[in-house]
Amino acid sequence: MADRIKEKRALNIVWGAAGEYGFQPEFLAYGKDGQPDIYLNTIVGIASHDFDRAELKRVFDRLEQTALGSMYTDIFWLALEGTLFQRELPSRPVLEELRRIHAERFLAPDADRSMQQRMMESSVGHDLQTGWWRMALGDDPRLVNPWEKRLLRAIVFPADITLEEAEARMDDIIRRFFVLDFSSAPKRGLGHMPLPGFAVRMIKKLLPMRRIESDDFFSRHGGSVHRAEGGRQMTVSAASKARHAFGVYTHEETRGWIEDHFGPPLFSDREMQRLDASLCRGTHAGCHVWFSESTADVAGTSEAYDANMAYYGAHSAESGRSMRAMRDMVKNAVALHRHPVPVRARTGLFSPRDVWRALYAHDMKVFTVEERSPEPDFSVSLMLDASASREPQQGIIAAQAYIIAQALSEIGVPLSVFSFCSLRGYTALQVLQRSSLEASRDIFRYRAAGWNRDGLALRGAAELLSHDPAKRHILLWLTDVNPSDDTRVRGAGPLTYSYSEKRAIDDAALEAAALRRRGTRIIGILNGELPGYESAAHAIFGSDFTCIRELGQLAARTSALLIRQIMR
Amino acid sequence: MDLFQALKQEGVSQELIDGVLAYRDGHGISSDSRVPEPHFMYYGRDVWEEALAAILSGANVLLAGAKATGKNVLSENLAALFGRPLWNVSFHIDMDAAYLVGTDTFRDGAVAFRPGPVYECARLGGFGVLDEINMARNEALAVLHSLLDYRRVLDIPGYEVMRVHPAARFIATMNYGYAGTRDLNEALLSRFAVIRLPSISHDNLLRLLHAEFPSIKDKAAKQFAMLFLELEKKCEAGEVSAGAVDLRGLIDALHLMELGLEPHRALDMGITNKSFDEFEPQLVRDAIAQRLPSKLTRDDIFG
Repeated sequence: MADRIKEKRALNIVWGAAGEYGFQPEFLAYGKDGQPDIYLNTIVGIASHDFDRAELKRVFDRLEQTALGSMYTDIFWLALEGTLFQRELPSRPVLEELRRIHAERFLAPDADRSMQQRMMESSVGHDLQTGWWRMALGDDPRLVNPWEKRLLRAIVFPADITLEEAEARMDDIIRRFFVLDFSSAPKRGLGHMPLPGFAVRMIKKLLPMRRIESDDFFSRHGGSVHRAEGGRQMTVSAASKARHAFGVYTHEETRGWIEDHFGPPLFSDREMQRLDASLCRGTHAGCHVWFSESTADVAGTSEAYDANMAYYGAHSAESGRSMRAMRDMVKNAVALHRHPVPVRARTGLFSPRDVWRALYAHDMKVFTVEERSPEPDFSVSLMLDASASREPQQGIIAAQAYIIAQALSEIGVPLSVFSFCSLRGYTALQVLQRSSLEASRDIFRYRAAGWNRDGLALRGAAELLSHDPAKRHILLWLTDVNPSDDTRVRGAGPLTYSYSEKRAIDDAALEAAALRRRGTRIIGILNGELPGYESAAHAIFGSDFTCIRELGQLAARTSALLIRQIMR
Repeated sequence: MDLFQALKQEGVSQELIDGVLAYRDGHGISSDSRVPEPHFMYYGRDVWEEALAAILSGANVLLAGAKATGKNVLSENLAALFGRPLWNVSFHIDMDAAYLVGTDTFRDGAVAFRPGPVYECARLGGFGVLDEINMARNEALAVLHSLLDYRRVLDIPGYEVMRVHPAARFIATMNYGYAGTRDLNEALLSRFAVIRLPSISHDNLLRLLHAEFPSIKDKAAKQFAMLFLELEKKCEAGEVSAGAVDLRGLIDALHLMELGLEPHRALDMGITNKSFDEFEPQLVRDAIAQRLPSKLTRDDIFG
């Protein structure tokens, strides 16, 4: 996370100097302390502004294809640095100080360096840079080697040089200083390697400025979730082991396993039995429901938490923007929909029935004004599909949930968050955040594993919502509209059917309709596009769904749907 | 501030300036204390000409623009130039029609009408600034329709029909596209001449800084101007929030520097600290470091 923030800083320094945002620079500079180097990144930005970026890339690519490519690159950067510094200094006088600070840091004796490091630094490249930065401070470069002295003079380019001219001068420097026998040396690209091996190794040991080629900034997080099928620590009999080998568990073993992996039940045993009986009927006969709260000591949640937090941290800037955008978009709708409460006042709409108070009670509040109740009269619940198909996007989904939670908490909308998945006949609904006005980081305990019996999950959601005191409920369901469960559906006769595809979608649509009849508004937020998702989404959500392909789309699309539900 | 002189320097059409003079002769100069004495001047010939032409033609004006484009500065300048008293009404989501035009109250044992700012402005021939007009609900704004169109009347139920003073004008401001604002309904929008205010240019920003700080050194003013514009660009690119793009904050910071506060601390107070994001202040400080030396003193900035 810290590295991503440093990279973001470095990029902003480059972009600020370039006067253009969003492009990927070929180079970013960091100091010995790992922090972005303000001066050198400013120079990179100025180079991106003053020169054609594609051409600049071509020149550097060409230099790097040679055996001494990395040294040529550094030499060329020194030359460009000198040129761009002179060119930009009149309009950006602070460069003088930034350059001086950079030079001083470079030349500062570093007591932490080992003897070996110091020996490695006694090389051509290091000597050249040392001389260069001494010159930058107005000092004598103190180069002893006449070859190095000539090389240093050669890389002082004029301020008004074009990129084409700079490239030509660099070619000339390589020919003059690095090719001993140009005519007979094998032609391998631009530069050759006629120097002894030890000199090559010395030259390759460059100074502490790291060069990092920016990769895709918003790289996908590669965290994986701890698979739920980890097994329970217990002493098992040989018979049990045999059963387990065939995937056969007793009800108690399964229940115990569920409790281990999803946490202790939210309700008493008696209540859980009652819920099983009332919810697990019809299509879901033979299944079970489990309601629990995700805590740190539940198996696998810590790993999921760390992975999800890492993703969020790597995208914190973008997430912050999404959150603020969503908050601002929804804020007015919430304010508009605060229910009016008539309040007695000294001005406003005359209230004839209260006029006696003015005459006899000397109470001048014989008018009414409408004040808006400070709290909205609705709550939002986030239901997160936590099936294994969501694992590749686990970090994104957790981040989306947290962004929504933060945005709504800032505008005073109570929010609860729970996830669900189905394993071993149980559909487990795991509460990540109880109804609260504050976004909880426990949302990052979200982890994806198992199947998803959506219809039963919606029945479970109805149960959870029945405990919410708000007058109105909006259910935001993050899903890929691909319900499926390995526990088969019992038919009227001996046949059973798989809970998947159309049967499962129809079941989910039925349960969603039942939830809507109870007054809950349902919005679908889809990540990913499976074939046929649109018809499934229409069946379940009607027109109240949106498809999010990246974090940047979350705010606008989700807000639009939320606002529509709030205003209804 | 001699606005007429300033307009001539801006190159504003003499015909329009003469029109303003004729307007002032025709309506008289109000002696009301509400006639503003502007502190800042709006720079921008094209916008000035559009605004003057609209007002002289009898139209009401909607100034649309992002933060720090000078909407309120121009509104105040217009009221001062035309010599009219100024009413400022800040619109918000909970505002209702009664707040704007007036409401019943109890006075001397009887129900009486207590006029609101829009009523008073219309009656007395003032310039009414309807600030952030798109923040209010449509039902609150509907009361303005007859005021703003050819009818120029305000019909208060239970009271007389008030005819708008011929000198009265309404100048609405709107920060369009800003997250959290709503679109203005078409019926209201059609009652305004809309002027889009551009972001302040580098040259105008320099003029503003030199006008506000006569002793500021040219070299320093250029760097502060570039800093502001770079932060503006960073905001447009979505890298920082609008909080960091605060021209008032920059001017406040310069005032603090003028008084002797260390410049980077002053910039923290005026700009950097206005972002409560954990990461954004560092981006702002980096932008500052790319323009201003670390050891800047008052004497480096002011002569």
